[in-house]
Amino acid sequence: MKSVKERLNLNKGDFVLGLLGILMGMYIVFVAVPNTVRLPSNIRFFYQRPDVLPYTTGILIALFSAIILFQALLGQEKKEEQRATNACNEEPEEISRKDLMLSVGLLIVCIGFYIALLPTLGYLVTSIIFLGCVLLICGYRNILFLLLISVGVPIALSTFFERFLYVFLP
Amino acid sequence: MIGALQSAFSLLANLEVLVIMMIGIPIGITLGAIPGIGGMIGVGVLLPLTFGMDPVPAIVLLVSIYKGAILGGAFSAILINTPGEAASAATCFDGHPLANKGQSRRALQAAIFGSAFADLISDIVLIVGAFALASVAIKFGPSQKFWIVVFSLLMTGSLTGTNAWKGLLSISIGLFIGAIGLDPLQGTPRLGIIVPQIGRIEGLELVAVLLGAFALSEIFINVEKLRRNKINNVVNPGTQVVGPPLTWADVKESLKAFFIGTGYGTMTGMIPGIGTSAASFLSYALAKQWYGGKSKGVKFGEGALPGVVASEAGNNAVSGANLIPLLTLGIPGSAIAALLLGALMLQGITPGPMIFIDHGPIIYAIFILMILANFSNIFFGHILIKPLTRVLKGNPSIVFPIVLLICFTGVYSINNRLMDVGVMVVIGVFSYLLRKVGVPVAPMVIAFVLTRMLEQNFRLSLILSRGDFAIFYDSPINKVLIAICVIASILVFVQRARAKRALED
Repeated sequence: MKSVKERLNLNKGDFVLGLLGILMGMYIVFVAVPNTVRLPSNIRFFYQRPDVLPYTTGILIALFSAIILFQALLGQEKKEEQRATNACNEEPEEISRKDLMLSVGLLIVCIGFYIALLPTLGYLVTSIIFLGCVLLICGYRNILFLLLISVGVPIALSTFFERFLYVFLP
Repeated sequence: MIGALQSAFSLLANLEVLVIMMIGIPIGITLGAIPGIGGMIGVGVLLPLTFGMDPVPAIVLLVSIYKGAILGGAFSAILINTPGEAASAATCFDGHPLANKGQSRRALQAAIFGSAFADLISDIVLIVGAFALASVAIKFGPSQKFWIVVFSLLMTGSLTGTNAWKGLLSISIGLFIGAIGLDPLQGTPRLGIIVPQIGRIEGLELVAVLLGAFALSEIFINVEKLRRNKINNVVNPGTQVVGPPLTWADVKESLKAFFIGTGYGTMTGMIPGIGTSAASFLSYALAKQWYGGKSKGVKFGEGALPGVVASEAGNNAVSGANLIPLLTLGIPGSAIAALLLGALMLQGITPGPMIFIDHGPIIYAIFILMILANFSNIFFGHILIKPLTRVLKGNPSIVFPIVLLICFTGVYSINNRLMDVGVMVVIGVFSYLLRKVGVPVAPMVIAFVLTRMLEQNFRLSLILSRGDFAIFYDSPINKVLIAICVIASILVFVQRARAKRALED
């Protein structure tokens, strides 16, 4: 019989998911709903209350997360999710999760800067810088084509949206 | 109906619609063939761009891309052993071995014909089934609609993914996200957490949530894969299209597999939550059983042509039938159906039992074009065989940044609101993290779409009955619907437990 530590090692993802889910559910029920849902004065019956569904979802999130946490503690085998795009290939050698998530983390940071700078620098300038950075993150190294794509695609998109769809970008 | 059909044909007399369909199919095939892109991203990215178009061309463009993409997934599955669409994963099992034996042309043609004709049969079922179901659904009251939504959510949550509880958690999260915004009956703001303005709008923008959950999370996962492939020096090998063409003997041998895939795919397409991947795998497994594991001396898994046909017929037969609950009840049964729901609503078409009355000519025009699109699939499938081998050898790292930028621009263009782009990014990051821990994202999105319908029908039923809960179980239809919900849930859990025990054995 496996020890609790060994079982937790097997299902770390589920354990964290369960815990965070319970916290999320409790946050919804005890903090989010009471502070953000104002009850109108004309309410006479419970089904008129706007907080019924939010409370219900908070309870359900906590409940299902508790079940997943319980399954993680019981040491249920983590089934290998079928990754459809690699379904037929041999599994590549193990790569550190940190290494992989670093590239995604960088991408998310780029996206954050893009949204923050969009109102200030405008669509064209921000998109050119953004596209260049993301192409580099994705591993594209042909500098000439990188510049062409970074400049050409935003110009093409802004022309298309403004001339044909009459959408005016920042 | 005759009048609506006549009006539909007059809508089609406009050549622009046919041209748009002929553009959509090759775009879809190409997108579907590129691993990591697929029809979902293609439809999602182009969805905001259809805002300025008329309803028929807009919907036909998106449906053509979708149909083309499912076929396109088979190309990469057969040629480079990596399915472009999740639905084509089972095609790898026999498709790539056939390519390795120098018979890639035969495999591709089998996939093209199997896909197109299965899709055609599914579209005919859609036309007949949608009209029949709409005639019944028009009599449904709010309490019946409530139970139908509950059934859809239960099925979607418990059938998707490897763990039913994670699916149901995904549904609950979707319901929470769907509750953000103005209360539908009282009009009071709710759940404006961190950004109070979010609580004061009529719900989060549908396209932003759809693109965030599907397109952005998929791009994040593919950026990881790009990094992994770079470290492992994995290069797309590409495969030449060689070998003899499909023969009549091949067609006769594969007929059983075709009917198994088509029948199973059409049936499962009508039930929310099952999706193209499951239909494709199960069709393959059923065909393998039916053929006794071998076809013309070749084992399934080593290049048996009926394996390719069963998988492709299964995944394509889902597409038409999947639109039945969408059009007649407004319930999207899959992620792509949720995107098409967004497209319909952008065009001012509200799916439901009244759709044939309010928008009959438009819907019939779309049905006719869907049937024509299947023949276009055959035509363009053959033409694109050689060009796609060059595309598949290319560098995928160029595509994702461009798709990302198009997503941002498209979402912004809907309401000219940067907040929608922010919502898309937050949902995208959240969905990526959920997928990393094995929580499926499709149920979350379907629940988000159905939240308003669920809540409105629940509260409306109680308003009509003045708070008496008997309205939910009094009528015979409700008793049947409750029984279906309970029995289906029990069957799903029993089936999962059996499958798990079989795996352990």
